[in-house]
Amino acid sequence: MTPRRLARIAPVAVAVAILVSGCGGGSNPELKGTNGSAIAAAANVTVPPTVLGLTLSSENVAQTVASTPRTYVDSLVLYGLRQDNLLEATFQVARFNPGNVYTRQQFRLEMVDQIGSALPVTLDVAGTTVYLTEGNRQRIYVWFANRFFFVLACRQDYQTPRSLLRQLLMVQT
Amino acid sequence: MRWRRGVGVGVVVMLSTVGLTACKSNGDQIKTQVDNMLLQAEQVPGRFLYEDKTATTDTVVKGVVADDDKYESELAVNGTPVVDEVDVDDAVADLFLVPNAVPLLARRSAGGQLLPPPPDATAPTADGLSVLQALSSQRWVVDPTGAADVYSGVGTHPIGQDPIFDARDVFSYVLTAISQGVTMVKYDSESISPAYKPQDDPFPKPAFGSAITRYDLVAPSVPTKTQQSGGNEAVPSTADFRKLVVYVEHGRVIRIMEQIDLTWRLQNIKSNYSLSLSGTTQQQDAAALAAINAVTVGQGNTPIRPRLMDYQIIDPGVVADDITLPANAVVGPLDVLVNRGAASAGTTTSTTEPPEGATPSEGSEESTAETTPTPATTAPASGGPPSTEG
Repeated sequence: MTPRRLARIAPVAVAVAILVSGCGGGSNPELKGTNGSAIAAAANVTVPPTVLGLTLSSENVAQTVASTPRTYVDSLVLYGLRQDNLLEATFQVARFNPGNVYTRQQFRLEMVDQIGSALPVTLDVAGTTVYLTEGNRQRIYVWFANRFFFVLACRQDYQTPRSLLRQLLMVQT
Repeated sequence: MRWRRGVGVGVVVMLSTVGLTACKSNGDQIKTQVDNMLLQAEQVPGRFLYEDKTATTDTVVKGVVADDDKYESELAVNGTPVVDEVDVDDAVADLFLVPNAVPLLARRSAGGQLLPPPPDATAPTADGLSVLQALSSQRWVVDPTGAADVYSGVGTHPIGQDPIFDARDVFSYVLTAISQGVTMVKYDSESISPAYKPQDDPFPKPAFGSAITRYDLVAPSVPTKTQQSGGNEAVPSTADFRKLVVYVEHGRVIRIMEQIDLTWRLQNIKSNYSLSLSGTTQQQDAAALAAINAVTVGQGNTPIRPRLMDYQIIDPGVVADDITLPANAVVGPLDVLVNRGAASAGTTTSTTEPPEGATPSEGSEESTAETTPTPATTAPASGGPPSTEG
């Protein structure tokens, strides 16, 4: 691992401190939570029906989302990417609540840190900054565009994750 | 620790300590600045020139980087172009321009011995040729899933075994090298305590008044024979013999140079280890290197490899949008080459476990209702940033 790979965000303690400030409404007055039950399916997201031979289908996650009391997002959609019946990857598109805090790099890095279980690697792919991290036998890519953020989670044994990433970077919001 | 040992000895020592502490702090700031500039430089597309020069071999990699997953390289050895390579996302394509050059990038054992080719390298592909036959007959071979995973640390190997990988990974290497140094200082031709004495400094000096700034890495001291490291006798390592400089122009890294050299620390080795070496300086270097590496390898560590490395960034910011895989290539696995093939791509075939939050069963119908979003985005963990009200 290198400092680049170690370019992790912030220690957990710092993240907590930021959270407390946000909760107090002091340093981040822009932050405003949305209850899960109020989260809508992401609007204005256009994804192709198939990518690299994988079929995209919207998953029903309403129950999971609704059970979450406070989030940073006001809309979310999750796609499953399947080869035949085998789920090879999931692709999540979410839209943050209105505000500018989501464009700050520090905030984004903290988000990535929450999503992955490894120190993220910052990549430049097709002109987009992409954060690569890991989950449970998953390779996870996260990127941001305006109020939207995207999470592509691929099985560790999926053979062409980087090609899939490049295709999904073209998704328009 | 070194500073504390001096405390209380005398006023003079204390004053020196204060001064040194201040310098260290400044050096740490410079290290951080240089680290940040290297991280920025790594993100910028453009062309590069990488040279790795040892006593016997001069290896040059010329490359074009479109982005982190799209680049092409040409490897030349002692002035002769040997390999062309194109990497596009998961795919890698290699062309050996010289017959019988495959061993140059073939997989090796930890001891540096060539490994026998894997069975799939000798099996016929759809073109009728095996991968080895194609590589040996100046044909492009594309492995659709075999690109090296440069950023996941999968392709760890001794420096020099895969110069193309080394060139792409140079920023990580340099950042690690800087972390192993004591501090960094800005080069000043009039400094009374430069990082390298003039006779030990092989690197170009910025002209007076130039916009180019050179930052020099200060190497650690050669350990003494009484020092311990991890329960073993402390043995000099690569970091102790490293000279490394980073050239910056208008806030951007333009060049990095490194020399791993025993000569400038030869007297330290002899005195710290009570060695009596004879012969020319070159002969003494060789004897010291052999002795150090014998112990280093015995301890399971990578031996010291003297070299001169030069990395130049050319045309930063110029995006190459015409990097594509070659047409009419033989398609097959490139596992025969180090850092290429499925084993180097960061993917494995041993698991069938689906992504977390989803519960599909392989080859059967599944319940999509159990496919869940990434937890942090909708169900923030305590202590994390996504929750906003409290």
